[in-house]
Amino acid sequence: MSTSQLALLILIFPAAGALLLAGRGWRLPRIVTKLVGPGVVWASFVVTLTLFFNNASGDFTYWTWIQSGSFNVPFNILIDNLSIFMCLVITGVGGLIVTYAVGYMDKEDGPSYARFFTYMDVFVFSMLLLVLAGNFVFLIVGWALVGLSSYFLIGFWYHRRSAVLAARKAFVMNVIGDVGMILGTFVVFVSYHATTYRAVFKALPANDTSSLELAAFLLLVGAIAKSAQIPLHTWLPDAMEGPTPVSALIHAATMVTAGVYLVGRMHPIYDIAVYAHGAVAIVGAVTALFAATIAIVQTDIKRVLAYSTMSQIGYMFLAVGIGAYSAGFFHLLSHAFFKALLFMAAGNVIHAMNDEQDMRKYGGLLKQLPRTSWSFLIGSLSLVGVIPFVGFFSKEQILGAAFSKPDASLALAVWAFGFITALVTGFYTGRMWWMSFAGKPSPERPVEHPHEAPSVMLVPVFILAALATIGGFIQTRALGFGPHMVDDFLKSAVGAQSWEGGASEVIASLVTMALAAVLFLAAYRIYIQHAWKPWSAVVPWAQRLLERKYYFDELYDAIIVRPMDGLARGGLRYVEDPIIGGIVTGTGDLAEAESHNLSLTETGYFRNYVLVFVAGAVVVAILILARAGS
Amino acid sequence: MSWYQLPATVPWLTIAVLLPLAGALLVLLAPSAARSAIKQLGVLTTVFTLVLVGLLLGGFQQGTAGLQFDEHHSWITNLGISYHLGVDGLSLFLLGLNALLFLLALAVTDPKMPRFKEFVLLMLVLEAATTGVLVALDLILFYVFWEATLVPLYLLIGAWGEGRRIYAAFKFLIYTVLASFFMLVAILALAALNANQTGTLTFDWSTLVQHPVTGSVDVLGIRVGIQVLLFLGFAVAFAVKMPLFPVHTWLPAAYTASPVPTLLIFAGLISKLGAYGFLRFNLSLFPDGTRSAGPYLAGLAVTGILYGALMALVQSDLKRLVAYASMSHLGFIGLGIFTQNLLGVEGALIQMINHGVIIAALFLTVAMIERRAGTRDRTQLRGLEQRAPLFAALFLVVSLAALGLPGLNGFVGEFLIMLGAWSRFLPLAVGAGLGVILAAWYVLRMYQGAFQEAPSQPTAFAEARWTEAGVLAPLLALMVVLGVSPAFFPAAVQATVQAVVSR
Repeated sequence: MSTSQLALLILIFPAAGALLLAGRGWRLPRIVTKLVGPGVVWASFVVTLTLFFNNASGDFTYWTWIQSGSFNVPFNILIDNLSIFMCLVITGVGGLIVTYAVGYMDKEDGPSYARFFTYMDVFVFSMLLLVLAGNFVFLIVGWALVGLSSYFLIGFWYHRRSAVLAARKAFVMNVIGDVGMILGTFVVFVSYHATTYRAVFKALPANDTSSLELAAFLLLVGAIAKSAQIPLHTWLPDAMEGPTPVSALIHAATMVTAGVYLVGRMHPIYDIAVYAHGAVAIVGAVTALFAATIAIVQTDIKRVLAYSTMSQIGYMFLAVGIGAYSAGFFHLLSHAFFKALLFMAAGNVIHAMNDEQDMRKYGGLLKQLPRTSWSFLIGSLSLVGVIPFVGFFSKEQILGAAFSKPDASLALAVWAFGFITALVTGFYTGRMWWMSFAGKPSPERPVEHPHEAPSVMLVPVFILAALATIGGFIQTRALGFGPHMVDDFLKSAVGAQSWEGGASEVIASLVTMALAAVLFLAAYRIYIQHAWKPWSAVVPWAQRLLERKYYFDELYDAIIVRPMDGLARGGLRYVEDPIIGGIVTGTGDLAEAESHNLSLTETGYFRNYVLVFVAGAVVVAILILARAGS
Repeated sequence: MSWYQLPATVPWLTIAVLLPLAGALLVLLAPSAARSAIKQLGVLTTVFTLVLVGLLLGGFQQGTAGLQFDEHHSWITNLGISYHLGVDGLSLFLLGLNALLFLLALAVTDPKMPRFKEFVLLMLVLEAATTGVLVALDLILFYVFWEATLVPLYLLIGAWGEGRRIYAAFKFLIYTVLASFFMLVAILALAALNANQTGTLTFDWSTLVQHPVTGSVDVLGIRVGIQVLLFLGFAVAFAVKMPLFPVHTWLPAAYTASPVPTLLIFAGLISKLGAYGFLRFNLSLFPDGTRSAGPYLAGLAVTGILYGALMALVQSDLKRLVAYASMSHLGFIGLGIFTQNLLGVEGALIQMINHGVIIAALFLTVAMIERRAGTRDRTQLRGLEQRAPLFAALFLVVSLAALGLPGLNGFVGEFLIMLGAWSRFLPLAVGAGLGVILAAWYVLRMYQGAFQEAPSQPTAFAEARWTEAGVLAPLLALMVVLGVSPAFFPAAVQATVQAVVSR
């Protein structure tokens, strides 16, 4: 098969799977769902691997979506090393997660089970469309469909009010991002008269212009909404209402990294639009620290991971924001490994604990769930950034790039944010691991003698644990030597980093790691041994501030949701209702009282109106005719 | 370019107008008791009309701006009134929508309703009138068809409606009749002015379009272009019919009171006649007037988008909610029209079809909900998805199309309209974008309110039946086709639109 057919095949597999499961799923035997659901994702993975090993590339047009004047939008797929890289992550890690879901969702009845895998396949399809699209319009289509599938999956347990609300919040916030992307696309089209990446990037000016900045900022709105960065981040923690495999797939490994992909894909624009580019780095740095601090006080294990995800994506934004694109994408890959691992291991714990998610009610699981516990530890150490786990190499490459970027005070400032975030990460990760797995079982623990998950849920976890352990050795640039396979692979798509680090960068990395590890251990002293006073007792106001998540939800409620609601209610009560009732109500009511039969002519008022207006019309007509004739 | 060539000697459009009337005549002759025969007669008539219109769609020459299937006969020669019918890119797809919606409307009409025969009769008369509006190209003829739609509509709402039906029907009638007189005056004035300029009195659109009126007059001491005055005369009629904010106030009552089959036509089609009128007359005959007055109307349109969306947010009656959603969406069409550029107007044309398809489907599903649950109050419905997952899925697709999800049809129109607006009225495009966000909010609230969460009480709620799915099927198919591959649409209408916007 030709490359263009293979590229289309990547999309067709999950689409076909979703259609089959949606149409017939609940009537087919359960085993079909179990095979088709993950099977189509693996099929796409195999196709992607074929393209990968063939070094495929190209821009393939399949049909004209719309054409009107100079506005021409084809349906085209762009195959380059960036899209292949993203497809590998989506179908590879995604395949593991969907496979895991076969076990995790087993409690659901037939129709629900099929519905779940329908949504999962729809999601994979949408995400693949997003990264394969070769023009701005289909990028938006994928972008919005991803938001839709996220809505489906967050609200999967739709009988729960909290899930319904969380799903709606996620969708509306994502639509805000979509509109940003749409307007950004308008700016691009109006300025460069093209919609395909290739044509637009060719037409870009050499120097920064205000319209280019505007486009870059508007696209950034989309990226921020999808990747849950400040200030459009409040949907992600609530999204943990969805089943755990969803959190792993959408809210850790793939969907939320779409913003990083966007900036990487649009790098020709961001390389020129320096202010918007700087904004990317700032948003990322601030979000990284902001989210990490909130994670310190969370008690729901999935919410810790959710905030940690926001924080880690902040690192990726930081990286692509300072122009270290391939470092950002390396972290994207690494994060997909260890965060999916953490979510699925957490899922195993939640599964064993009868759906209890409060870490305070765990304790002492290490002995009873050893496989899950050790896997979770690998994920945690990777998150903290300890050698030799993959997180160390990817995170420290980002920090190193920021630290060593020449003549850039912005880079140094965001490095400082990233550095502090790394320390906070060590602490909250330690707190999470120790509280859940070490010490004595909590008296409130729902299950006294928990059981390990079935192997369909353990094997994907082990595979990811292995990847998180050895994955870093494909790129050890953070240590200043060794292979850099990701950088090499992506060079053709996002360019090479324009500066090199030195020895001081490596030393900074090692110091960061050491301090983070110390804080990881310090959590043990505080939360297990109770040797030290918890910090929250020292600064209770900070504890409150973090528990309320810096009051963002309250703020939005006060400045957007409630005023909008008030405006609508006020409009209805003081404008719409009086007008609807008012102006012609008098006549209407009389007419109603007077005529209960339906003869037009018997409606006296109507006749009068007609008379008056015919007369008026004739007079006006005569006046106009007379004037025109004169 | 067309798929095939239709013989030019056949008066296709006259047949299209007369077919429903012929059906109406047969219905009139049928005994009232023969309900199923009347139903079959009604449905068959609309099927034939749809087939005929389908033939016309296929035989339409793409890439030419001019009128096709032209029929021109002198009528009242002294007064310059002629019998002139024709189709171009502005009316082509609306004719298809018209025929499709009437078929669906008659398909869902319940033969057990009181005075069923009269109902079908009036619906068929209404179809003849709306078809006439879309193909008439003599201004007087147009006016006759335009007014002729009112009588059946008034009777259909007043006699078969619900709630305060007489009030609602009367209010609608007052509004539109009053507004139409402004148009009549403008028509007369236009013909007279044109007669002054050219020496011949004519009401023929294709002649008038070639001689735009010029000059200006004093109105209360202010110099106003004659084109602007005439523009306003027509605009009043069309703005009320669409309706544009703030002359929409007949809409909630009339939509809520309408019986379902009539409502499909009322919301799905009649509102488009107003938009069509803007394109056919305001933009074509008064391009300069549009350039002066259009921006204000575009502003009103965006106000309507936001206002309708806000009102939809606080409605609990699903029918009323959809009525305001409809108004909000009509604002997009208005915005597209007044951009007066290719993308905006094409977007408006696509959105006219989209709106007809989506709103009809929404009202149909709301009616199905009401028939099952006995209420259409959003706050009293809950958890229907658990009882009727297929029904929920159907409603979901319709809802998603309504909120403009990319991949479905609503997105295509909104995207083109906003893109067209972006280059002419940038702030208005942003306002429309806000409307998109609000739409996501109120549409999801509607869908989730009715279908999700735990059911409040154990009420029976039947799954969608095949007949219901069958009625929705063509609408759903259009949502997908127009969303995935809409290229055929601009290809067919582009030449006409280009001619309109470059006047």
